[in-house]
Amino acid sequence: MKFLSILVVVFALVSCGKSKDKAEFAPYSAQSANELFSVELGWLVGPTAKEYNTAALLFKNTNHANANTVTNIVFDPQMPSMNHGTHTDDQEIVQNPDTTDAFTVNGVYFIMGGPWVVNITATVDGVRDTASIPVDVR
Amino acid sequence: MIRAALIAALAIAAATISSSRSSYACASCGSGGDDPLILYPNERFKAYLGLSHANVVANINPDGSTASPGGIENKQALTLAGGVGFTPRSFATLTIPMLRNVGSNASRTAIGDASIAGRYTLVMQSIDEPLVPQVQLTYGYKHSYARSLYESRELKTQLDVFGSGFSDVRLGADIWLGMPVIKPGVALHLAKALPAKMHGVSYEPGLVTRATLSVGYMPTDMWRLTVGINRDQRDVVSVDGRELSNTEQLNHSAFVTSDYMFDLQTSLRLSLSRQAALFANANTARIDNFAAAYMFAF
Repeated sequence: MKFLSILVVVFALVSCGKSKDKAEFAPYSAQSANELFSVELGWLVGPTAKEYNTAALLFKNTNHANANTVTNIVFDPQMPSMNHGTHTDDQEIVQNPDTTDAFTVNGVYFIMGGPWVVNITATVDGVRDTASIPVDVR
Repeated sequence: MIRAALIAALAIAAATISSSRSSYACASCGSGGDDPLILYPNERFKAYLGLSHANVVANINPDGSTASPGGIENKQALTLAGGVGFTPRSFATLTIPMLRNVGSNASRTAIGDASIAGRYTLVMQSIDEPLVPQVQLTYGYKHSYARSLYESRELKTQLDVFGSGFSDVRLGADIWLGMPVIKPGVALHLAKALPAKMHGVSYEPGLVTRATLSVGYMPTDMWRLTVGINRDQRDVVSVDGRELSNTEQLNHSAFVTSDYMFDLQTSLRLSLSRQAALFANANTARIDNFAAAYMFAF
């Protein structure tokens, strides 16, 4: 009987594990590592784990003006706490019509939820650098 | 609150020991550890065949909040193990898991990381001294063989991920009071992953400390029930010699195990467990696991 009581207590403890709500993601702007450009990251779809998401990027140059040319963009999500990256083969980065500084990243895939960092590397008005932006993936 | 309740439960267990109706002679049962197969002192050879099914419920973030689970949400294992008893005080086992990852549209099967483990009994139990615990030294080595997340060729589905990518060595102690009706146990195990280089980058996970508290009870001479909790803590990961912040892992799991002995040679074990079940957890996953194992000594 005493043992059954212990069992009940342990089962009650196990079933009481309550999940915390996830933090909401807000659009985020970051300077590149060497302050050669800044980039704003917003989400048109997501960010949700195990689904395709769509991101929006807006680049400014070192003078904080809209970038005139942005080339060779690499959009690299990493999960520092778990120490791994994600599937990036389906990514497609397209320049928005009639703009020089705005891009859409389709096919962004996170293999799990949690705190991610997107490392955005690009050549902005002739200088290449990387900006890192945190993303809370549901 | 939860901690207080758990302490109360263990106190009840401790109090029950002093009022035990009779003492059961029980062999080296242990109170927990990574080695699935335990040999009794009188056993020279023992085989283990286990089946398990795990369901990944959620990811646990560094701050303890939950997120969508990663990787394969359903994992199955067929575990084969064999043990040899060298003396009544010592034995060693070899464990080889065959793993199956089940995705929404496909599945993959592969051999997982094999491990060897052993125990040496420093203090034997005796019916004459029922309050003297059994004390065992435990050791082991897991060899990294299976493909890890770092080497995955199917990162999107992770169906081909069957291992951690790291070999590790383990050392610990298991103290268990097996003679009273209620049988408490405590174990402490350390595991150190060996550094591994993947894609030119050197990774070294931190030291893992596992503490186990368990309470066993034998409703009959042939049937034992055990409940317990594990606390697994892993220090930060180092990458190319640099420690990464926020990579510590913490996992409190709970388990219930039923061992039924058909006779002195054969037994059946059923086990339910949940990782990240209670208390604080970080950088881990909540996983429910059901396992059934058949053991035969000869």
